[in-house]
Amino acid sequence: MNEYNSLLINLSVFIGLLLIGYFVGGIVEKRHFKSILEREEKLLYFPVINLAPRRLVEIGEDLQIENCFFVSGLVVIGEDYFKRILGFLANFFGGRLLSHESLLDRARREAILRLKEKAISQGADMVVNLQLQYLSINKETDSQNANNSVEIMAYGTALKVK
Amino acid sequence: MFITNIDYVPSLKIIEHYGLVSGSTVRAKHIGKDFLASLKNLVGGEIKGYTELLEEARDEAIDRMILQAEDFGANAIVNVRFSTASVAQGAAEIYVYGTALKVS
Repeated sequence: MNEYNSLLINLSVFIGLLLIGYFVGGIVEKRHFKSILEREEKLLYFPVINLAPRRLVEIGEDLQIENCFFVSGLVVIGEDYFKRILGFLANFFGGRLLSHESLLDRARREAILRLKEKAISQGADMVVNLQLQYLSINKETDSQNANNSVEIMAYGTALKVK
Repeated sequence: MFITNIDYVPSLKIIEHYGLVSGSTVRAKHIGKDFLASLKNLVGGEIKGYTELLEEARDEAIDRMILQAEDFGANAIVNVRFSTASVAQGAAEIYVYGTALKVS
């Protein structure tokens, strides 16, 4: 009887965490996507490309560069409990993991937005040669309870045009 | 100091090059930040503590690279790349490297 009770408590804690992860995590994600969309629309005028400026001159763009400097944007986004369990189940069934596609999408777009905001605050007119680098400080490979997070750094060369 | 990740400094001429310069730093997670992060892992979202930690690490790696370039007497670093390795559980290395140049 006692064992049965503790099993029941464990199960209800698990389901409680799952529900918190699903609902609160869903709200957090929705809010984040909303802010990303708003800022992306606002910063649409600012060009970010992954070509070197030499290429732009080759295709006939008139580019008089005054100054250049290095900019980067960094973000760490953690998954919620519900996504973690989904990711764990995906180890058995395989297939497409929509929950994590949105997580990566959020992180990448946020990193690029931060790069843009930083470049604008330092007076740049465009960013060239954008690169993305994935980091890993929060990885625990050998445990089921691994807290996975997406850590992305976007970096590039900001140009000030005459 | 000009730092770019393209392979030249726009509108400036290369006078001399000094080869590869690099900077690296290994950072471990802070237990207080880790506790907050584990709470954050319940509901997802940005983990600000880790973002700050990695930003500090990135800045330190770049600073070390710049110091090395200044030792050579360079005033620009081009083709800057980042590389990372996870050396131990909860610790990561950020390595940044590029070519030191003198431009004018």
